[in-house]
Amino acid sequence: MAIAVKSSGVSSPFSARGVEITDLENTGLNDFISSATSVYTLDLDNSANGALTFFKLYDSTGPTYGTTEPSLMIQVAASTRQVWSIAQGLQLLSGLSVMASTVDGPDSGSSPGSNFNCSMVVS
Amino acid sequence: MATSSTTKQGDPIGSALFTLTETGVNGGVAAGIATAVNMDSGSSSGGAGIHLIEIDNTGNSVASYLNLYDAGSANPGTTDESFVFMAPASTRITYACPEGASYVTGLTGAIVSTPGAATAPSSTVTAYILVST
Repeated sequence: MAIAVKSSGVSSPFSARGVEITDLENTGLNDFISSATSVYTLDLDNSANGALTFFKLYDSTGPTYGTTEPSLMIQVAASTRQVWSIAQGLQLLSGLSVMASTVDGPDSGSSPGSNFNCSMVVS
Repeated sequence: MATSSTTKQGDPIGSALFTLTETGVNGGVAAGIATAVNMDSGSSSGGAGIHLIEIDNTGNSVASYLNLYDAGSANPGTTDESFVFMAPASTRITYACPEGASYVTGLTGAIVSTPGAATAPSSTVTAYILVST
C-alpha cells in the first residue's frame, strides 16, 4: 500500500492544520507542506506492528533517505501509539519531510511490516 | 564534556528526573567533542518510559540536538541514535509524551551541534529528561 496524505487544508485565519499520513514507509514523504513550518503535535501509531518502528523527521525539502541524518527521531515501541506534544512548536527552517523505518540512526532499513500511521498538527 | 545528575522520587511515584549538561567547547575537556553519559542502566518499567524532555539551547545561535540511545553506553558520531530531539537556535523547547516512550536496554544521552556527529555545541546546553523507572 502506498503512502497517503490528507490535510485539513485549514490555514487562514488560524494558520494551523492537521495532517494525516497513512502507511508511512522508508521511501519517505518529501516536503509535503511546501514551506517552512512548525510542528506542534505528533501522533505516532505503531499499534499494527509487533516490532519497533523509528519515525524520522527532516528539516529538509529533499533528504536522501538512508544517508541524511534526521532532525527528530522517535523510537516507537511495538504495538503502541505515542502522542508527543511540542508546546512551543518545533520550527523547521527548510521544509518538512518524514519517513518510517525498522532501524535506528540515519539508515533507511525496511518499511514497517504493517501500516505505521502519523498524524500531526502544523502551522 | 557532558555531565549528568539524577533526582529519583522513588515509590510510590517511581519517576526520575535526569539532568544532562553539555558544556561544549567553552568548557569541554576534549575541545569540541561531545561525550555520552549513561543515565539508566535498565529498562523502563511497565511499558512506560520517557515522558518529558526540556532542552535549554538559549546559549547557542544555531540548533542543538539531544541524542538518546537505548543502550548502556554510546559513542556520539558512531553509535546510531534511538531518539533525536532538535532544539532550534536560541530557544528552550519541551517535548511531552504522556504515554511514555519505552526503552529496553538502558538510557544514554549526548548533546551535539550536528545530527550524527560528535561535535559539541559552542555554549552550554542543558536537557531535563523525566522518565518512569
